[in-house]
Amino acid sequence: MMSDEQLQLQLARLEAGESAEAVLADLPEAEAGLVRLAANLRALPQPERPAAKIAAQRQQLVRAAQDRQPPAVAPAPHRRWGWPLALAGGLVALFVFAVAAATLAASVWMRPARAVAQQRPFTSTAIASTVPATPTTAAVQAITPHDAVLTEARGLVELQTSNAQWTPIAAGQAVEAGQRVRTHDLSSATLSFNDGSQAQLGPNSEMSVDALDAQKSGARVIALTQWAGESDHVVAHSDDPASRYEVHTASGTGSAKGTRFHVSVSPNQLARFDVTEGVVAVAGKNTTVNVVAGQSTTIVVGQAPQTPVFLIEGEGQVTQAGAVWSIAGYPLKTNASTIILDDPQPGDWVSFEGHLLPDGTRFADRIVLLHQRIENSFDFTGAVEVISTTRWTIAGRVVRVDALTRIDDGLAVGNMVEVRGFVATDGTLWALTIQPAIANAFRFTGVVQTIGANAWVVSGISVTINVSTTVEPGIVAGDRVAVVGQILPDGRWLATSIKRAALDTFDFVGVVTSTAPWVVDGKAIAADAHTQIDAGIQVGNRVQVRGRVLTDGTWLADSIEQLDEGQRHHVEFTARVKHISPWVVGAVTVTVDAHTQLIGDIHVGDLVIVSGNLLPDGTVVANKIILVANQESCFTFFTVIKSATASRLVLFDDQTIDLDNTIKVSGDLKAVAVIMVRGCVPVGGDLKVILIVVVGQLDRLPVIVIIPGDDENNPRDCKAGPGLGLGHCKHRQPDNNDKKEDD
Amino acid sequence: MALPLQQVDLVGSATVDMTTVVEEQLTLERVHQALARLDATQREVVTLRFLSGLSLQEVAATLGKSEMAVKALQHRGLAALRQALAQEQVAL
Repeated sequence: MMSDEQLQLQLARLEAGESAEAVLADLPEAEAGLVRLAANLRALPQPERPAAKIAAQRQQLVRAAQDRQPPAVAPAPHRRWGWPLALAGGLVALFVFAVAAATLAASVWMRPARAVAQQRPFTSTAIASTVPATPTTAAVQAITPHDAVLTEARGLVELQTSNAQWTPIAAGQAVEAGQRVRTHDLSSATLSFNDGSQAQLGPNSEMSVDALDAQKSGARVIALTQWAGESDHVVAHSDDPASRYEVHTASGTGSAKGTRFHVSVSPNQLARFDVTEGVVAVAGKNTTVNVVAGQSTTIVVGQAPQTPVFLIEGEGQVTQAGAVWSIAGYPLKTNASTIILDDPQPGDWVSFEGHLLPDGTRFADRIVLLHQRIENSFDFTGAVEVISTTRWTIAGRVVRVDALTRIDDGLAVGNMVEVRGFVATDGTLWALTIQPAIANAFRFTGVVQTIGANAWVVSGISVTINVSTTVEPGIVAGDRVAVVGQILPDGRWLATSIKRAALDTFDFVGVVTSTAPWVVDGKAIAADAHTQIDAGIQVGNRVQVRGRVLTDGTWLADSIEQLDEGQRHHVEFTARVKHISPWVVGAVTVTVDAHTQLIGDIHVGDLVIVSGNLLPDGTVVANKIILVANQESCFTFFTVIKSATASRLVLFDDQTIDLDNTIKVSGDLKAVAVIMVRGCVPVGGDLKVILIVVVGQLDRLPVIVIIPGDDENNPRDCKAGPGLGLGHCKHRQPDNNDKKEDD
Repeated sequence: MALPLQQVDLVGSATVDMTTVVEEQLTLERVHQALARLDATQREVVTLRFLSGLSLQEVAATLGKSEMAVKALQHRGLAALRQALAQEQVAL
């Protein structure tokens, strides 16, 4: 049997990046079992999660360790094996960490659509991606009950002191009662308190610390006022009934004892409280409503809080738009108050947020375009070999040009160019643009943090300036700018122009220095389920990264594309399968090999998206073929169980869910439990519930307060329909468990 | 024990096979059940070391133990977990 030391040696090999197969091959079978188990634990699926959350969890873990065994040593800032931290929810002994993990997990789940919906007024900073954009994180240090510490800062974060001056602050700095913190565009800040609670400010947000006595035991007092923007709060549990954690707004106040919630304050001081765990008492104009997990309420200045409603959100393909939208085959009512961003059309992929109406139908508060319908497009980089009026040959591929093709002036045979266009149904490549390919070019949008004579710092990136750099006059710190330039061989980012920008995209070419998480030329890149990543990219490869800068500064990639100029030519197109073995899709012969991912049960006649490399003979080697018609869309909603049997749940709105062994259930399904329901809808199919998770247990069905004269002011149409309002409608007939509160 | 809800996000991906995701969730749940049968200290070490991805040194610092002690605990913890998984008839 191997010794402790010998086992550690083998595990160290895994940590160093050796494959499990290689390590196990050197071991006799009798000794391989534990190493194999360790490797398999490592290989368990790892959900992508925001690094900010990972960092927060890690800080809490270390803090828990500090409580146990001071002084503790902060762990290294990277995870060597990239193992599923999510499973650390099983770490019962370190209960602080476990509670935080479950809390944050709920947040991730409940807000998937917020990841990319950066233009919405109520945007969370919980980003469904993997890496923050160059945050600065404070070393773990002691936090006293009477101050908060800025444990993470991205972009430009400022502190207002007693003399009313705003000065930039960095992670690690303390914030005292009486001071204000504000964030600029593309920026965010996390305040950590002594009791373990945290407040995270989103971009363009401002918050003052009013009172602070964050005792770990006894009466904890944390009082904040949110003047603008958005914030997420994770409130440590306190047993002391005198404990307070309050977020004041101009419209009303949310008070919590141990929970998680989100606060948004719009420019007209409309406040919204979204609760993701536990209960928050929201007060305004002599009325208090209890908002439970999954619910949201809004308050207009001078008015009582609106009746809380249960939220729904998800994403999918639009099959109908109008008064009633169909998203993933799921009907959603809209009206003039529905915010629809970026003009999504049928066929596009959107996210939605909304709430349940009293009659049980779903109403969309917001619909945001995520991806336009897939077009048959191609782009690649290569040397120009032949130029004619109708055809160019670029790296061996014939590309058709016409009057609509935008061709940069001065291009000649031998130039390296980037060509983009679309693939016609007969397989012809029609060019839309042909422009010079600049080695290691970059373009990104960020917020100016510092301006120097030779270098600026823009969203954490030091950008070199020289005499050839064109800088728009009048730019000051805090402005949002577009920076275009070239990454030099020594790694410096040399700007050729810096201009004010309204866009929020980036696009650059660089060398991959890490793939988990993604780091390209030293820049951390976030990726999510929608990021198109070429298969087989390894550290050292040159890639082109395109994407968007989210409001908190995260660089979220739309695509990470391998560049092997002259050898590899990416193509993506949508067409019907004409033949399988050999594969013909549309008019294109497609090579499918062992490296090709086939997604979906694909048959002749199906509509598919082919992503791969275009060869000189016009055939395509497929990296991925996705069945379009079978794409499922999934969403999440919250509800309360009215009654439960082994085979059926009756919900508060009298709808039912039949339980069978295909539905994964986590928790004890019983009356007045708050549950999150995850369902998926195949295109053209019916909703299939796949998962039910108990997130809380109420004492009774949640009848909320009755607000006198509320109907006309309440946008959540709560006027009609008994029995289906999940307790929101004052006309609902109370049952035995119901009691009116706070009348 | 509730599953980490992050796992649920996988289900939302159009490119993920639903059956696989559910099976993976069940496996994870069984790993948790098996972990619950370990001695508390072993469970901490195994969780931090193999699920949270901390290095030997980080685990030692976090738990306030010597590296030698962590090596011994991870060895015993893995052995115990392997036995518990076998009793649960979980192949891992």
